[in-house]
Amino acid sequence: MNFCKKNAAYLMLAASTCVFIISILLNRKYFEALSIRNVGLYQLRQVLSIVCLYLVGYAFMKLIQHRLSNTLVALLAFPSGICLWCFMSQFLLLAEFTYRLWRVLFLIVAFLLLCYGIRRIRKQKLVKYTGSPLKHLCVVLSVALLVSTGFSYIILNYDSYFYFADYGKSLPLLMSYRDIVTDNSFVLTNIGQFLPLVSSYITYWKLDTMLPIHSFMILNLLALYGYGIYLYAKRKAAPKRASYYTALFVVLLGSCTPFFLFTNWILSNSWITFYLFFLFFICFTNTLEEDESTGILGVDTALLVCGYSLAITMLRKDGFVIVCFFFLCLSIRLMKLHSYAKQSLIPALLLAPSTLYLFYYIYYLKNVIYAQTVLAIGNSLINEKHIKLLVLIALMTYAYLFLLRIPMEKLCKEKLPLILTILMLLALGGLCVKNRTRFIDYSDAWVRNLLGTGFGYALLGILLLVVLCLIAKNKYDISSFVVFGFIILILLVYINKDNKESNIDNSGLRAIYQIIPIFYFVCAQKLTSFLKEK
Amino acid sequence: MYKEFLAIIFIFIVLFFLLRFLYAHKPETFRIVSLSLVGLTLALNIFYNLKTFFPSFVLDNEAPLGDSKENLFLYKADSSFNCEVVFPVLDGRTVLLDNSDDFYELFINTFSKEASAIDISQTDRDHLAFHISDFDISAKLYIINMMNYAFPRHGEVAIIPSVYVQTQDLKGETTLVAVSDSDLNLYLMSEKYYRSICE
Repeated sequence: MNFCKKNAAYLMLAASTCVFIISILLNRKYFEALSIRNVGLYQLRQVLSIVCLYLVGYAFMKLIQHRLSNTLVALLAFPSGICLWCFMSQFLLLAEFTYRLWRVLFLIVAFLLLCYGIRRIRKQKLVKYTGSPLKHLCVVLSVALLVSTGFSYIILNYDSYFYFADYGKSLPLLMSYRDIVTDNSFVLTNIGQFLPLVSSYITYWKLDTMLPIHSFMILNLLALYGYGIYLYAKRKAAPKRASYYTALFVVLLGSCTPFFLFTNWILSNSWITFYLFFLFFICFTNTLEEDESTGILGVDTALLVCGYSLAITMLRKDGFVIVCFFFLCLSIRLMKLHSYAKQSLIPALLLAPSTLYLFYYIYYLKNVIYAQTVLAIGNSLINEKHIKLLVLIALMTYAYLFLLRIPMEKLCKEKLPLILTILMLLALGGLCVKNRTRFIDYSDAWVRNLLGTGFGYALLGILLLVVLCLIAKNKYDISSFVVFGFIILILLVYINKDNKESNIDNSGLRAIYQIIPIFYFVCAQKLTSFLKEK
Repeated sequence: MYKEFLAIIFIFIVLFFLLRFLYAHKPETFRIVSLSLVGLTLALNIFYNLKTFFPSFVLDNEAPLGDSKENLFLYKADSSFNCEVVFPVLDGRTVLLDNSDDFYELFINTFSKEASAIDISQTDRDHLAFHISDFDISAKLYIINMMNYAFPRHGEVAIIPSVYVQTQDLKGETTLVAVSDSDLNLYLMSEKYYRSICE
């Protein structure tokens, strides 16, 4: 038993390698009937593509590490690696350099050197690595081997095929947005560029699908989620009990039907789910391991907040709205920990990259490459009405951060999350009263969707957790506001979009599901009060 | 639907008061009841997931692909978008393209290792048409219509053509022959198969 515990990482690698080899043998017939490539080498390239992203992300995380623990650095390395790839690629494309692999790699290396240089100038030594690097690599390699077997569950629809996979596949071949732009540049005006750029990454590896990367992200999310819950539970209960509690919540989330469905479905919504959870985690729980008086935002956290919010902005047209809401929550979180000036300035500064990116991208489409679209014009990024709305949202967010926030906080104090929720509910109520017919259709669609295909029995589990949280008598704090406020925000956004479809592909429904991991995490956090004390 | 929804809400309101009572007066019973309820919802979810998603899953009004195996390619025979098969078939292979076909030239040049021209006579085309049953994969080629950003000319096609692939002789073959007919349907086969039919 002791031997197994000590060598768990190596045993895991051995088991994963066995599964991987078996998968090669099983996939051979199916693979070689179509492709000229060797199935073993193909699957190995899948593994390497993941490990490379992880290592780049890990190097970045180590270079910026300030207050984050080594475990968090390891758990956030992969999503950060993907961000680096996508940001550098998008920079090249928007700056109208030809999109070539060596250029992206050059930019990534230059950026990492810059981070290292800044660290040297600030005379900060790298945080010492604790534990065995070999074991760490073994775990990463094992997961990469498992997700590259071709056995993972996937769901693809029209959007997954054409807008993310095929379009992404074409980008490295066409090498510039200018060569894509036509009278109907739907992929530029209506599709977030983040996911196609992930697809481009695997195209450089001569692979057909980004599925292994997607599966790795799901496992990464579950690992971070479990780690966070364990930290909370460990505060209250003995390690063994905390482990059982963590395992229960990991299984609860993993088996939640909409979570299972929408995270395995290759869509921008699933990637927003990942990054939204990572963002929530680093903003609202990273101080778990240290003294809260040291403050919430280290350099590392600040850079990650910037990066992940930019990723969400790049993922979907409505990503920026979600980011603005999130900064509103972050500003409340920062309330206790910094001076008033810092409270306004820090969120505003961190929101700046997302705002600048969004409006530069719109400018680029409209005034540099003159992109047009004939499909879904009303929803496109170049639609005047849409642009005005985005400008208004950005202005309102900055106005709140600089002007309204301080008086609001002085006035409402601890009640601010509750008062903001009431205000949002009033806004929703106002819209419903304004257009009653639409409200009835809208509610009807929601009821049908929540009880229809795809939701399974998840509603029962969710309601049970809500009931238990209510019994636990927790305060309506900022974490609860993130969940409840997000749901009202999505209802507000989608009631205007006349979103009445009653099926699983309803975009409003998909947007709501993005909050599920955060909901389960907050419930787990609140229900720790039921755990027996140590 | 509404009755069920209201019933669920009502049950949970009752449950809330019941559990609150137990929590206040019988904490041990509360623990057992709440854990059993969590266990029950967990079991229901797992049961539903196994039933709905495995071995494969098709959404209400769409036809996507949900599968737990053979997903190294985006191609899947029972998917609505099985035209994706052209990517693994073209990838890494040299393609001999019918000289008279300039419609697929850019597409094939983009996604294959190398493309060069070959003269195909009308007699050969007739031969191929006669052996159409050998082409075991057939799919509507939605890709060309969708990728109008890459191939603007293809975006103008009013009727979506089909792609036919002869896979039986494809294994290990590095060279393909691509032929299209007057309706722009594309036929992909190994050079070996082409020679065996036409020579």
